Amino acid sequence: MKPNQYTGMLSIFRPPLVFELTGRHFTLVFDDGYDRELVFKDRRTLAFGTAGEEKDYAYECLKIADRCYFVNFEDPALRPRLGITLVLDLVQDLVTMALAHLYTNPKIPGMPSCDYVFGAIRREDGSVAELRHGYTTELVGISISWNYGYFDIAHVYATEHYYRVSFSARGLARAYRGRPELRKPGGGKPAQQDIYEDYFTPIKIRDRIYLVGLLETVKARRSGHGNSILVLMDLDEMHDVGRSFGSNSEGGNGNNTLGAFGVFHDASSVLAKKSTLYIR
Amino acid sequence: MEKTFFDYVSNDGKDLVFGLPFTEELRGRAARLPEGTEVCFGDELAVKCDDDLFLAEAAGRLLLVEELADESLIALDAGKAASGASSLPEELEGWTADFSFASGYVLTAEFKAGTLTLRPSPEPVIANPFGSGGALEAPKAQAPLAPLGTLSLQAVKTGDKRFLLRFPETGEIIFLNARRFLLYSILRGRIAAGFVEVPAKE
Repeated sequence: MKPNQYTGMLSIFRPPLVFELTGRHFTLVFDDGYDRELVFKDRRTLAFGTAGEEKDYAYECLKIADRCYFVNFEDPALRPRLGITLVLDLVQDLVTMALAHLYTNPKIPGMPSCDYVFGAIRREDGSVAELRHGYTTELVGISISWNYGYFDIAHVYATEHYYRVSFSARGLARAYRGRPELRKPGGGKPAQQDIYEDYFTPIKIRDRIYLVGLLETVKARRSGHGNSILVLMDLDEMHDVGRSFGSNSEGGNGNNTLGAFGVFHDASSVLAKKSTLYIR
Repeated sequence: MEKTFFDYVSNDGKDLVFGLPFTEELRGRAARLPEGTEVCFGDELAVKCDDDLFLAEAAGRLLLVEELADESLIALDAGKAASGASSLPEELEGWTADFSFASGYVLTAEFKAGTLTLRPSPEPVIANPFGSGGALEAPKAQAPLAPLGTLSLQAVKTGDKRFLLRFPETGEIIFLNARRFLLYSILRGRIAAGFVEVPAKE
């Protein structure tokens, strides 16, 4: 028996789409000085933007925990590309917005970047929380091997600014069964370097729930293409939801939601290595 | 006392069982049961298993609730549906797969003749390619480990690649969504989730 085919390498274990916000209307008060209205018009369409300037978008919504949602959308016609992701936390009435950019870098158009804007959801009584989701160091030193179905990867949260990549034995064995060419000399990931390391943004949403941003800028410098990966993880339930936003060498533009199950991974040997990519 | 399915998949409770958030999409809605009665949902524990499918604990029963194209709901008593099964569905008979309900604990499951045999999945032995620069050996095939146990199993197909599994000795019920290779249940008052290892892409 085989599973069905789904868009994107990381999408097969993605949980079902969530429609429970349909009909809800929120006013999001962001720290960039612009309030935005967010209306879930139906199961596929939302309206988002400053009051009077709202635009309709096709969206996908996933849920990580009690009243904590990952909402992802993009205007597919817009260039440069702008991917918008909202983490709506209806327990604390807080919101974090990730704005992913592509085709803004004049030298490497496929170089991804991502900005974060924090804010709060205006309550029915008009009040707005002072608290914000915030940058955290709590993940530093931790590594989790995520199983996305066809693909396992261990993210090693090496410092508060950089992640590294590793693989579990089980993940490697599965990859090699499917792609025997990886076993040839030089066929696997680059052996000329000891680690893959890149930019990391860890944000704490609430206890045991984190939003992490991972950029593939080193990959983009080498190949011209990389992704902005955004993952909302629950470390009590050991699963995540998220999206991968980027381009590929075939000219494709991806913005695919994803999901995975995780296992804590011993990355002490990877953590012990000196960075060959960034001055510390 | 006999070990339950939950005991096996959680390594006797020592490993953290995967969870998923409960869904609020059923709240305030009603579903039609085959006998013509209706069940109304309030704050019952429920989990979304596919874009149009839910597992919900209501009135002491586990219900498989399907949303139709017109957004109306129909429900099936999962225990009753599976307990009538006398043999495994064709797709499951003889199927062997690795699956995991708990972080880091992978079991090999063999479906055969109305039973499910569970054994630990051996951890592969393989060199990490980073920094090696040389050719890598193929993963070594390892002999299967001794079974942990065999459970009687009833199973019924509820749709394309959708199955309800019931363990008659304990009454535990699992929903297998083989479209995504995901497993769902409500066990011991909490939502439990799992996954089937996806075969490598050829």
